[in-house]
Amino acid sequence: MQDQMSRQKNKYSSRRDFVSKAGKILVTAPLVALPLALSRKTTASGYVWQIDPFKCTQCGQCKTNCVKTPSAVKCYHAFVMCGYCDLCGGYLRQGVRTISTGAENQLCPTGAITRRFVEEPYFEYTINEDLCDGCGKCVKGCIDFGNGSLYLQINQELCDNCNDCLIARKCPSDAISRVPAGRQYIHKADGPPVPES
Amino acid sequence: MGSGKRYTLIIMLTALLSGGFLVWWIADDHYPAEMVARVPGMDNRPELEPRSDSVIIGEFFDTLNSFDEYVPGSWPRFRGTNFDNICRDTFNLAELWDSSGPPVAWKVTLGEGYAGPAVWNGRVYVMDYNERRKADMLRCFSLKSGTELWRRWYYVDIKRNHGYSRTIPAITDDYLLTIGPRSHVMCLDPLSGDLRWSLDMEKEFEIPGKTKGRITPDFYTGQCPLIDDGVAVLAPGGKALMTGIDCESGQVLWTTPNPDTLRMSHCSIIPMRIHGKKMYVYNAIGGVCAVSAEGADRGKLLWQTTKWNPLTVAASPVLLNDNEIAVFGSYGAGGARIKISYDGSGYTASVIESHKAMEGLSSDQQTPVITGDYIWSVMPENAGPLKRQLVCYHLSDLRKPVWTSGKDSRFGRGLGPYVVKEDKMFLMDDDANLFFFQLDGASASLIARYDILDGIEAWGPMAIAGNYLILRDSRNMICLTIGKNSS
Repeated sequence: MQDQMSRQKNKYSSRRDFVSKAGKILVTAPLVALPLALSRKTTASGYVWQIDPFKCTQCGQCKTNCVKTPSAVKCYHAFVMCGYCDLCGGYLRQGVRTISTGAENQLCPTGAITRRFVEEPYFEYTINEDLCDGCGKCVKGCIDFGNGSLYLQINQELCDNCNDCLIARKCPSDAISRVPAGRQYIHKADGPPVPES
Repeated sequence: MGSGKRYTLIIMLTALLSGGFLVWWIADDHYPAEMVARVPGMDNRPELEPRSDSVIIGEFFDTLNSFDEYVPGSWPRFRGTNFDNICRDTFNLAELWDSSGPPVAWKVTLGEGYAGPAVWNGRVYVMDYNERRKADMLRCFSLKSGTELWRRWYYVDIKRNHGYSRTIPAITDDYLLTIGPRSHVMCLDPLSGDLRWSLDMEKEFEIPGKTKGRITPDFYTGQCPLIDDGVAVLAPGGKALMTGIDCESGQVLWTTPNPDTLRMSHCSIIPMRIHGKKMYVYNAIGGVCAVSAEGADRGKLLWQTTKWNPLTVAASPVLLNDNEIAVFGSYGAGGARIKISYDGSGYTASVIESHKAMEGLSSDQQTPVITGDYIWSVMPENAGPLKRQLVCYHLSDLRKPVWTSGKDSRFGRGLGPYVVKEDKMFLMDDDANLFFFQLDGASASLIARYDILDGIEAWGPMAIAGNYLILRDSRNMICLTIGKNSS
């Protein structure tokens, strides 16, 4: 009994020592925990930011206002809606004289769209997300002259999910809102999203 | 270690780390993708080769039903009798219908496409494509009942490319002329459906191996054929800018050379009288031209300009005042005004004004309609604030609209057809909603809107013949009774 008491007594040489160690732990713990907490993505009650492609007007604000560089907004392609046209309004600049993959004919400023011959008369268009900067020019071209199969979405792998999303604030058509993290993409081929009751 | 040395060490370490970070930041390639030169040919587009298939044009004929009853009315070709999209038949248009719209006289199912009807002698003709049989199919219906009377058809294997069919037949008392999606021409007897002659424009006029020598344009042939004074007038491009073929014999009467290799567009040849001379005006890919339509020089190129040459053209040229024409381009190309001058020996054409879709009158697909001194159109998707609106311009100024339907009155994607009867306009949006307007000089007021078909891509031009309005979406054609006191 006496030995036990002396061991407990010997764990802290003095009360001053105990307070000092406790203080160090109290100061150090937040310093370690805070960066860890910040490095993890935050979700507001399980919600993430996403663009409603049916409201988006391809104004270009997503490219310039997102805190990420390049923007976390990327172009996506609903292949099921695509016409696979040779003369593609999303791929070719307006007023081109020839239809080819030459840079002078391409609408995408970063060359993020790859065009591949499938069979006469069809061509397939795929988006290179690494190159896409979310400018939305191809989306506008596709809507103006085609089936509207190209559309913008926030890539959730890249998005920081800021609490005060800058592109949501800047969006002139209120196309960006929080959606449940379980349904983090709005697929255009599925039609407009049903508002939550 | 003294506290001074400790601080020095900390500062040095911090400086070292900061320096290292700076070097990494500057040296690292932050852009995650490699730079690749974008040059032509990266899509593996194969070399252009002549089509190997052999099409026996007009090979088959099916008699289906007997003709039931004649009812008056004619819409004998693209844009009607006078090429203006205005119905000249004399009948009284009903002023109003109940909420369901004009009564449906009949309805038929078609292959996917945008081919409009032509009406003659109590019969309705549609150049359809049968997807199951993989065949171009000219179908003849009774105007009164919609009963299908006969079909003249032939196998031609084409793939869906925004639908299949696009063209409207041309009809006279003696001849019926059609062009299929791949530029196959048939001339028939309009009553019996007997084949007079046929022509494969791809085989006849294509310049092998040359992109500019191709005949059938992207999205298939949209040129509606023309019969003028017993002559079939066609604009194939390739080896011939235009050609005139005797409808009776199928013999080529004249051929206009094509030195600048203008290509077939989706617009149609429009006869116009400019400086008192009748000419066939055509907005080809690569330029606008006119060929003499009368006299000893019939078939001779009168003028041509390559100053207006959008990549895609669907709307046909329209004649303005003062020997000027208006032309339109698709895909945001906008429009232009071309003045034709005549110095006593020859004609010259000069583009006196051009504008993008956002800057002035434009049409991606349908040809604008002129009523009096005003021209009407539904603006395309990329026309800025006017997009998809019904607009009216004075013929003297194609840049400033005199009337617009307003931002709350937009019509589909601006690709649907419109047709005029007296002071009324029927307009259909892309989803086959029918709008009925009262035209009052330079303005229009909406009388009613009817949900006629639950359709998509209702782009085929409408036809008014007698008491009937015939319209279609991508798969259905419907005939509405619009006459007053008509049973």
